[in-house]
Parts: sequence; C-alpha cells; structure tokens
Amino acid sequence: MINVKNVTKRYNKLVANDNVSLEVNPGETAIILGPNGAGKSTIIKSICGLLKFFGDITIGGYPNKTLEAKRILGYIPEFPALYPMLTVYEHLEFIAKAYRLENWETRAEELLTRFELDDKKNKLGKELSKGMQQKVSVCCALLPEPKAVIFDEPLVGLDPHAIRELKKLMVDLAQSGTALLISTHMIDSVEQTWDVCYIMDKGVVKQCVRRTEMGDKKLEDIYFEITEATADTDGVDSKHQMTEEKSITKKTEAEKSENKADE
Amino acid sequence: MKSLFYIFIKTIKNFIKEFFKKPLNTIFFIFMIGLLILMMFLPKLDPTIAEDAQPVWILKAIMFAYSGIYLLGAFASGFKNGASMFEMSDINMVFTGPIISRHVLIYGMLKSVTNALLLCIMVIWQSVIFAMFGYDGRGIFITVLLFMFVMVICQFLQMVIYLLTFGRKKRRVAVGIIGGAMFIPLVIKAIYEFTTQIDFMVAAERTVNSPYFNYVPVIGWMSGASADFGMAMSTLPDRSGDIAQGFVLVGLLVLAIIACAVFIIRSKADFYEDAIIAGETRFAVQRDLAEGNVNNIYSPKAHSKKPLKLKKTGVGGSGANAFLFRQLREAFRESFFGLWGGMNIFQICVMIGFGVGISLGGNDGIGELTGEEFMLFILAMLSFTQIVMVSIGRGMRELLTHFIYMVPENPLKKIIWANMTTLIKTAVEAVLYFGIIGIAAKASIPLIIACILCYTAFTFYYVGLQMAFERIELASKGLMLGVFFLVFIAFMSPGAIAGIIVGIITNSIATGVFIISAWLIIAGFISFAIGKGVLHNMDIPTQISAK
Repeated sequence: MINVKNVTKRYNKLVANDNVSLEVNPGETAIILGPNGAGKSTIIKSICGLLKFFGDITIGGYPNKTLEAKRILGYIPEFPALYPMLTVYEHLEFIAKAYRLENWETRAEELLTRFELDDKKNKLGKELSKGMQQKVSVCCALLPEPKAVIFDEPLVGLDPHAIRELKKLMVDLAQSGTALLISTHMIDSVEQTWDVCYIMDKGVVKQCVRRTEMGDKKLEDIYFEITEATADTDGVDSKHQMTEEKSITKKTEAEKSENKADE
Repeated sequence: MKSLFYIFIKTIKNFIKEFFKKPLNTIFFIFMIGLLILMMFLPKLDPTIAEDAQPVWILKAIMFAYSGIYLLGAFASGFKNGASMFEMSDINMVFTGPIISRHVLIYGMLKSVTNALLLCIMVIWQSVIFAMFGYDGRGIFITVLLFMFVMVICQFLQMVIYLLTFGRKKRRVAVGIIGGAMFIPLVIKAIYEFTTQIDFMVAAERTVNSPYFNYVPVIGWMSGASADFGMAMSTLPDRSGDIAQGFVLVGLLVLAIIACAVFIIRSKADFYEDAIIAGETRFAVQRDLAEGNVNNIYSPKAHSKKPLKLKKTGVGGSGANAFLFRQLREAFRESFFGLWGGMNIFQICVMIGFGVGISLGGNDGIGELTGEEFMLFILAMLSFTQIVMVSIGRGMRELLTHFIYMVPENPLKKIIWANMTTLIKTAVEAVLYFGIIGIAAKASIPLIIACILCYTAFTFYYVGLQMAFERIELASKGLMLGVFFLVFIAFMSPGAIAGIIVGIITNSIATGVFIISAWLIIAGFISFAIGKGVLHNMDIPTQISAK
C-alpha cells in the first residue's frame, strides 16, 4: 500500500534521508523507530507529499502526489495545526466538504464519541488543550476512511485514556485492512502493535525487523544494539560520511537529470 | 552578577559573529556605513539639494508621528502584560540560579535595550529623506541616537505602566488619562491655529514649530531635538537650529530614561511571575511558527481568553471551495466586519475622504489633473499600497499547514480558492473606492468600472505571482524580493504598454484601463498556473524555516 523506494532528501548540505526504502502492506502496522534527528519526520512528510525529494513513493500504486493517492491517505502530524476559530465539529465538516464525502455525519459522531470529544463539538480550536487538539487531528485524518494512515509521533501530548483508545484504534484499523505507518522514538508505546519495524539513524534505514523473525529478542535490545553501535563508530563514520555525501551529490544530480529526461 | 554579565556580553559577541558569517550581511553593513558617509557629503556633492530642500517642520511632524506609534505600542503593551524582557532560556536558567532578583531585572532591561537599539539602525535607511530636509550625516547620526533614546524609553515605559496598573481597569484608565493629558496643550494650540489661519499649511507649520509641540513628552522632545541639532549642523545656508533648546530636550529624554529605570529597579513587585507568563507567550509564538501552527499566530483572537458567542456554525462549499467558506467562517468570528478589521475600515475611510475631499475641492479639475486623470492617480496609489497590504494574506497562510496539500483536489483550484477571500475583499474595496471617489470626481461610468476591474485584477496578478515565487528558492530573501519585483514589473509591462497605446489612440482612458485589466487577469492566471506546483513540488514552507 505504501511503497518508498530509494528516497533521498537533502536540505542544502544536510542529508536528512539517504536512499530510504520501506514498504507497508494492507493490514500491516509498520513503525519507524529512531533517535531525535534520525530523519523519521522527514520521510513521513515526504510520503505525505509535503516535501520534494529524489526517489519514488507510491500509495496504493499511485505516485504519492496524485489525487488518487491523496484520496486514500490520512496523515496525523506531530503537532496538531488546528484552526483556532473553528469548532471541533466544523473541523470535521471542513474535511468532509473538502474531500467531498457523503453521509459523513455518522462516522464523525462515532469518531468524536470514541475520542471523548462529543461534548466538545462546539468548542473552538483555540479553547482546546494540546491533547484535545491531537485528538481532533486524528479524527480529521480518519474521517475520509483512508486506506493508508501515517502517524507522526502520535502519542505525544495525549492523556492515558486517549493513548489507550488510539492504540485500540490502530489495531482496529489494521484489522480492517488499513496500512499504518507510525513514526516514534518511544519504543514502549508501540511494543504491542507493530508488524514490521524500520530502525533509522542519521537519515538511513539501519535495519528492517519483522516481528515474525524476532524470536526471543526484544525490539528494544535490537534498537539499542544498532543505534549505540552507530554512536560508537561515529568518529570512523564521519570520514565515510564525507565520501558518502559526495557520492550522494553525484547520485542526486544523476537522478535530477533522469527526472528531467522523464518529464 | 558576573554570570549575567558573561551571558550578556557573550550573547552580543555571538550575535555579531553570526551576523558577519553571512557575506550578504557584511555587504549590508558596509552599505549602511557608506550611506551614512555619503549623506554627510551629499549636500556638497549635489548643490541642487540645497535649492530643493523642504521645510524641516514637515520632517518634525513625520518623526513625531513615527515615534508616536512606538509610544502608543508601549502603552498598549504595558496595559496588557508588560514587555517580555526575557527569553525562555533566561527563565529556565537565570531565574532558577542563585542570583539577586534585582540584578536579573537589570540584566533583562539591558537586553531589551540592546534589542531595541538594533531597530534604530533602520533610521539610517531613511537617510535620503533626511537629506531632502537639509540634514547632513551628523544630523542623521544624532537623530539615530535620539531615536535610540525613544526606543529605550518605550521599552522601559511598558514595564513602568505594567507595574503601575497590574492589569487593573481603574488604574489603566488613570494612566491612559495622564498619557492623553500630555497632548492637551498641543491640541489646544492646533485648534487655535487651524481656526484662526485660513491657509492649512501655515496653521500646520505654526503648530509644529510651537513649544507646545516640542515639549510633548518623549516624542516631542525627540523630534524637536532632532530638528534643532539637524538644522544647526546643516550646511545649507538658509537653515538654523536652536542648539540650547536641543540640549534641554535631550536632557529631558535622558532624565526620562533614568526615572523609568529607577522606578523599575526600586519597585518591590515580584516580576518573576509576570516575566514567566510574558516569556512563555513569546516562546509559544516562536514554537507555533516553527511547528507550522501558524493559524494561532495570525488569528487576532486566537490568544484571547474572552469567550466567543457562536451565532452561526457550519462550513459550506464542496471540494476546493471549502477553503473559501472555512476562511469566511473564521473571518466573521475574528471581526464583526468579517474580512475587514478596524484598521482596514479606518484606512478605507481615510482614502475615500482624501479622494472625495480633493475631488470636491477643485472647480475645473483637480489641480492640474482632470477628474479622469485623478482616477488614474488614485488607481496607481491604491495598487501600490495593495502590495504591502496583501503580503500575508489568508492564501499564503494556507500554505503553512498540511491541509491544503493533503486535500485531493486540483492544485490550481485549491490555490485560487484559498486566495479567494483576498480577491473578494479587494473587489468590495474597489467598488467603494472607485464608486464613491469616481462620482465625486465626475468620472464616467465605464472608467469607474474599468478602475474597479483593474484594481481587483492587479491583486489577482500580484497574489498569483507570489504563489509562483513560492516555487523559487534563492539563497537570500533580499535577492528574492528584488527578483520578484523585477519579474512583477516585466510581466505586467506588455499589458501596461498596450493599455497606454490603445488609450491614446482611442482617446479613452477607460479603454486603456480595460486593456490593462485584461492583461493582468491573463498574467494572474498564468502565475497561478505556475504557482500550483507549490502544492506538489516544493517543501512546505514551515519545514524550510524549521531547518
């Protein structure tokens, strides 16, 4: 459902994502784990079409920036950006109108009840706490019933009840065949829900781990093995990074010319 | 105290280091110094300036009004929560450290003063204007220093007013009355002059040159001292200034600074709590900006604690036009007049009053212009102001959050509908401006319609080109702005030239304006079509600023 192939994203000299590839199938929950600055949010934003990048990203077989892909993609950003002068219900109404949804009211009510927002329908965005805003943000993303949902640090700022509800919702979504991609650096929060895990560090996917192939090992152990090993070899890495950066520059230039040729 | 001194000096040093790291900043700095030196010798280099120099009382009035805006801002801020003299880092580290609170306060005051002083450098940017009134480099330099004094007083005054009022209504009213009372002698003098003098300009000059003007606290002292020193040092033969009075006025400014500082330091108020609230608010704005939560920053009522009565609810539209209906719903909650705030309405009234006043003042035309030519003048003037007014329109704000990127609609439709409130606002204003002024100026109906269309089309084109430029990434914002205006003028030129030629051939101004409007609409659509790529081929702007 979500297919990311060789994505590289640079901010001037900084390589935020370096040749990242990942895949999430329908009904699968994939998590991106990594320390701060690993490039998790950058790849998430690239998938959602908020950033330009080199490489290929498809959603349900469609390039991520096409209308077809946007129709089946839901995104919950790390920081909820609500409209301060719209009520909770109007946020959902706006999404319903913009997405041209029909008979959306029942689903809106269900979502509001599930996240205990039904008594706050007429509260303005500015009157909500950060946790409440995050809940509204989740409701907005799920209203169009997307087939792929992307969560960027979804549990930050939520109260325990909302965390429990969101985790349950993630399970329900996966069971109904939705592909989920969750970025986080809190391993505990996703311990129960994941099927496949991409461990990222310094803009690179260091390892792809499948729950079925884990055996007795804990995800936490694998994560620290990888990230701490990277930290230990930092001094050596920095030399390599210089050469890698040069090769990436060459690569991206080649990709640029390829893209131009495609156009 | 040593630690505070260390942070203060280190911060300044680091700021200077960071500033000069960018070559463009160094060029800018050298340019500013060069400008100041050039101004010093300009009257000698160009003797025509001496012949064309304007009377200094006009500049005095401008400086009075300009610094008055800052003084008014200081009062408004003082009534709310005082100035935020501290950053979140100060609150987290300095407040919790074993440092005497009075020393912390002095540190905060010094910091706020340093920040305010940076603003004053911008006065040098206006050197040419000062030169037009006979100032040389020394006069400009002294004016910069005087403006620095005003900035420092405004910074301190915010805190003084806050400490005096603590948000209590009665005290606020009392301070407001005292503040207003400072202007009473000047108002009486102005009323007297304007009722006894027939000539408007003579009355204005007599008012500005009176001691009642010079002795209005802070802003009168500043503008008076600037004029006194500026004229005393002027190399122009017919200029003279009262240096003794200048020194008195400067003395008053220095005394005001000392009085404010002593009052703040000696006040027994616990400023920590207030400073924390102000600092956190400031930090929240910076964080909102970095996180892309810009709706909180630009919405005037987003931080208001006052409960809002919701009369109408719901969002209309379908597809891309839902952006328009959502923006309208928000606008009518932010202001009783929807897309128009108090300042907008004031501006519209002033412009219409100005246009109608001048139109009705002339018998056979307006000055050297006919009624129709005057309409063209108004069209050009309003279009120019529009460039400033629509720079941060709702459409541009829309680009800063993810919704517009995610909605599965045609990107061209999305950016046009997202900017529709700006176009509606402009069209309504155009009807008011040109309808009323046009009738007063006895312009023909076709010309009134053409002006309405042209003004709206101009905004359409301008906003469209802004969107197209969102796709371009240049190293410097200044360079970007320069390139934007070059393209803006170049792309508009074919229509403008065609309009002028057709207007002359047909001897009809209205036809010429219609031609220009038609071109602006075409150019606008082309710009929007290029700009649509901003929704699928660019980085969301908040991401760029965050990096």
